[in-house]
Amino acid sequence: MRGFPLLRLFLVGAGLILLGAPVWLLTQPLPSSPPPASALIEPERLAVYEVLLTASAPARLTIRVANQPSVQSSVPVTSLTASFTMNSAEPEDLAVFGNFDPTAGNSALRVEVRLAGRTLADSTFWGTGLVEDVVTLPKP
Amino acid sequence: MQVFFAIDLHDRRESISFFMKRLRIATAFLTCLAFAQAEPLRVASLSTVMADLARDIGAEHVEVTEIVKPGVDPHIYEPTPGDRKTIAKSQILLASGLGFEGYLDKLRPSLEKAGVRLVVGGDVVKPIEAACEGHADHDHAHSHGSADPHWWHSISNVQAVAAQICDAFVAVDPTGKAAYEANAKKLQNRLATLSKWVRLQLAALPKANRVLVTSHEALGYFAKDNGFEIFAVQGVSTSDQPSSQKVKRLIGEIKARNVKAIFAENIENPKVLEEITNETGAKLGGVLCADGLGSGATATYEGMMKTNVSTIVEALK
Repeated sequence: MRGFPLLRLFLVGAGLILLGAPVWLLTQPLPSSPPPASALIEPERLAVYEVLLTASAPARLTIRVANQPSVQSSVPVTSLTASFTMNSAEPEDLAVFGNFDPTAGNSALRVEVRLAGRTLADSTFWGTGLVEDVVTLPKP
Repeated sequence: MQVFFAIDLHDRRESISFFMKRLRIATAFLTCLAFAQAEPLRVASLSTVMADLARDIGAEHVEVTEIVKPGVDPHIYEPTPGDRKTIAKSQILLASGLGFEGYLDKLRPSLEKAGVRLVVGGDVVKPIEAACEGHADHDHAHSHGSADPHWWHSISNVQAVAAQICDAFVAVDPTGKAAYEANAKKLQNRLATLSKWVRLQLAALPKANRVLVTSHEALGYFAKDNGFEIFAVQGVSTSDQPSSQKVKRLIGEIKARNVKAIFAENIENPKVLEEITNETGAKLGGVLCADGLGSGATATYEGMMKTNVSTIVEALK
């Protein structure tokens, strides 16, 4: 080693890079992504809406809200809860889906939406197989 | 003697019941025969949407003639002498109403004379007020009432008009009552399914993006049903000419609201819209069927609604 200064320089350099890489990665800003819709809304208008889906029989349940990731159960369940932060002045519509076993016959999917403990919407949809519908939330 | 009389009475009852059964079967058979052999109901339509509904409700029992054909601008259409003859030969004439057919009042006396039943869709819908701007700055030569005549962009209006057409068919041709009502019921179910499909598609579109910029003010009912704000280059009729001030205002509005796309119409020259896209940076979101049905995928009411909704969601989301 003593006789190979270039090798020593290479090893020291490699060590520094290995040590510095995690520090560099942690200190870099995240790649820029478009701000979520909620980021453009005045903070005092943002509200957390709690959505509870209840199925009459085990089903794959999904809740979709525009501009937000869908919430879905990976296995058949009889209830699913999710929270969405939305503009309370103009809340988005909720699309709800219950994928039931078609042999189960007529099935029901109940949707309850609460804001600060108060029930804003309570609807039940009926059907066979895929039960899907839209819940429009009232403006304050 | 008493026993004999009882047997005789029993036989008589049985023979009356047998006779009545035969009579009922014969009546039903004759009704079916008369209906099968009857000439189809002759229906003329000034509306492509109502013609589609009439075909669904009447099926093989009606012969629908479209006076105003898909792709023709109904705002500037005037019936030819040949069209008037066709209308006079028909038993029912379908019209949108609410001022959409400016010539309808002129037709009325000849319809009465020829015994043609006039079915006006606008009579059974909930009209909304037409937002016809620019009365102060253009020649108000077009003919429309104060109501927006494009009622078919609301599915609930179409459901009401479908029921109206069914009633008219039954009134003119009572022998077809069962068939007309069964077909109308199937159509109502399909319209309810379509309504849910539209709501599910639009749920993916954030409310802040629900701004429709179109060639002319034709989608007011759609906007009202689905929470859109609407801006149009022209007024409620395609013959309205936009003033330069109006176009300037519209450009300002599109920029201020950061509208992603604006829409052309199937019967319009999209040149003015292209100019606006150049000024604002908004893209041309596609072509919408506004004044009636088109061709291909938009040749039916359901197809038209699905195409319009898909185009809007794809461009604005």
